[in-house]
Amino acid sequence: MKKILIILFFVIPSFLMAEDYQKLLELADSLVNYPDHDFSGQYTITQNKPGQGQTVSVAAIFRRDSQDTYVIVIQEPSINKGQGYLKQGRTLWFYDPESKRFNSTSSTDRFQNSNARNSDFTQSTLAMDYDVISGEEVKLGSYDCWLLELEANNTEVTYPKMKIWISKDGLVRMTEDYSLSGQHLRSTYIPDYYNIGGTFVPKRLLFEDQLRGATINGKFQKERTLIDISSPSFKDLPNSVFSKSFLESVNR
Amino acid sequence: MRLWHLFSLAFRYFFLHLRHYLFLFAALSFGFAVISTLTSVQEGMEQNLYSVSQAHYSGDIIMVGESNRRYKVIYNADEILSILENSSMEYEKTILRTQLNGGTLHYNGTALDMKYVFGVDWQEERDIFESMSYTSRTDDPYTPGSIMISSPVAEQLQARVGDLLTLEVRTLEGQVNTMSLVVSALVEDRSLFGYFKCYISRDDLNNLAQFPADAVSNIGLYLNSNQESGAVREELYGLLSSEMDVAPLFEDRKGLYRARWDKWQGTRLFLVPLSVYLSEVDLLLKAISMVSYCLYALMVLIITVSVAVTFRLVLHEREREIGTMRAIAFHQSEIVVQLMFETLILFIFSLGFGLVLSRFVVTLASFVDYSFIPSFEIFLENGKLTAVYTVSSFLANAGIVFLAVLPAVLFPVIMAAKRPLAGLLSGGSK
Repeated sequence: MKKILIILFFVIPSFLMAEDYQKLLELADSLVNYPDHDFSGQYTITQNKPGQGQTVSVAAIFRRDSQDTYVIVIQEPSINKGQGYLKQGRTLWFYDPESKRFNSTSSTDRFQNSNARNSDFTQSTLAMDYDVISGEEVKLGSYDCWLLELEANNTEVTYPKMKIWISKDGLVRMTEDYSLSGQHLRSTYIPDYYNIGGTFVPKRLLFEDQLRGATINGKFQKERTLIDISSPSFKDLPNSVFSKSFLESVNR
Repeated sequence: MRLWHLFSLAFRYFFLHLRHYLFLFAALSFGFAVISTLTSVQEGMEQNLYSVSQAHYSGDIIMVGESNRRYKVIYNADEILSILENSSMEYEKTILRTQLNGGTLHYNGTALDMKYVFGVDWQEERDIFESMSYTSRTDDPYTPGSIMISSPVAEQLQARVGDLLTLEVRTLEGQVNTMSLVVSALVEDRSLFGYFKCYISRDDLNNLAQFPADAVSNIGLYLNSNQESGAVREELYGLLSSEMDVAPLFEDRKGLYRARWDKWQGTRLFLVPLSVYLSEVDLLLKAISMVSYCLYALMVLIITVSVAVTFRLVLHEREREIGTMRAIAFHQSEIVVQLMFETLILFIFSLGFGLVLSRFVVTLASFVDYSFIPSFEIFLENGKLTAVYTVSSFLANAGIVFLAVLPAVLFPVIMAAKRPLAGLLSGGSK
């Protein structure tokens, strides 16, 4: 099915209608969602705050899209070691090993004070959450892309407006996130993907905040967060991973 | 008539023996000055706290729209105002505010999270804003598209009046929204209440947070100075509860929490007296009162002892004179009355001078920078320590000092008047 959709978008590049754009979003979602497998990987999150230096966090991610759940365990730095996130449907729990307590948090909140949001770690639901307002064919670096303007059709999403660049292979290469009033808040770049048997996993995600940064030597430098994803795996995970007791046991 | 003669005699003798009374005068004046300063500063601090809280929470009684929405919201503010206007209830004024608990200010790459974002009717609250102290402001800071921030916030953002900030908030539905606003004023407020908050026009905030145009978060009721908030709140409850869903009245913060745990549909109006919000700093106030009372008691004790000792010396030096008065047929009781009159004159002069001294001390204290005491700013008025002198506290202080001084003076006077004439005239100690 994915291959048919890809061919479809290769063959008729310039005449897509609104419903086709929506299908394009479905394709983009399907390429990076894993309803038939569990997913695990190690994420190295490098946060660069101009003038304040760089901080590096390492997290293990476990995703089960079939149940709309994920678990994130922070491994580094040592001060945050053992902190964890558990998404169960619409509820996102944050576990703090210091207090040994779970508190609910929002998927729209910043992840570990970086430029990534908690929602960046879950499955992609672009086609479900957004309506395509307009689309055009553009060039993004060496990629021929579809540039789609999206507006959220519900209030649960992190950003109510987006621009999204989808390359002709159906992969999202760049997004721009906007506020309701149209203020550009963040850009996301996804230059490379792992291709594991026709299923794609981003190799790197670069988030660039449009509002946060600092002026260094007269030049405004934006805050950036780079996420390097390594050791991607689609091996089945035990059910116990997606539970509060797992996060508690990690710290014992 | 006899008393009047004794009083005029005492008046002349007081000035005749002014040298003897000088130390006593100094001790009493100083003691009364300390006591007056303590009580007036404490009252000033409490009044400042109340005024700051009143401006922050928007009144003496705050009608808050509680619902399961992200923010507090009252959709029928017009209906509530109409009920109030058509009733016989007395109050000074009402103000409408939209309030968000959270938001982020962005300027030149720096982001600062706000604890409160207030949407206010500039014109309705103009008197409140005019009474604030500003580091800098435009000629007319009350324009749409403008934002007032506190000086510490401006320092952190490195923003000045005229700079364009971006305010990022979550809408009532939870979506992220932003607005560009020009800094129109920097409020000199470093208190707990002022630090992480900003003011914009209510229309702007309703638009930004996607509130309906006529919706508010709370309606503040300012009472006249002689009104008691408990009685007005009950009257208000009686007026509104028949027309809409109003939470049962509560007296403290625990009561407020209990009322919030209740389940209801839509919006429920909570009538919150300012005292409930102030209970957060109640412990601090009690601690200040305790310290103040201890110092007060200590000062009264010092006054009593110093007066007792000094007055004995004064009487000792005047033994021959008392003896002479007795010898020229002054009755013992007349001598007691005359000496007590002298003491009363001394007391009145000491009160007057003590009050002047107290004012001087408070004026000096108002120039001290108290920023080194954490959270103390909420007790200051525009960063300065102020004192409130009331007739009632003056009379109470004077009464307490008088009662403390009376036995310290009366007993030595009676003893001196009763002593044998020969002993008095010979200048002996017995």
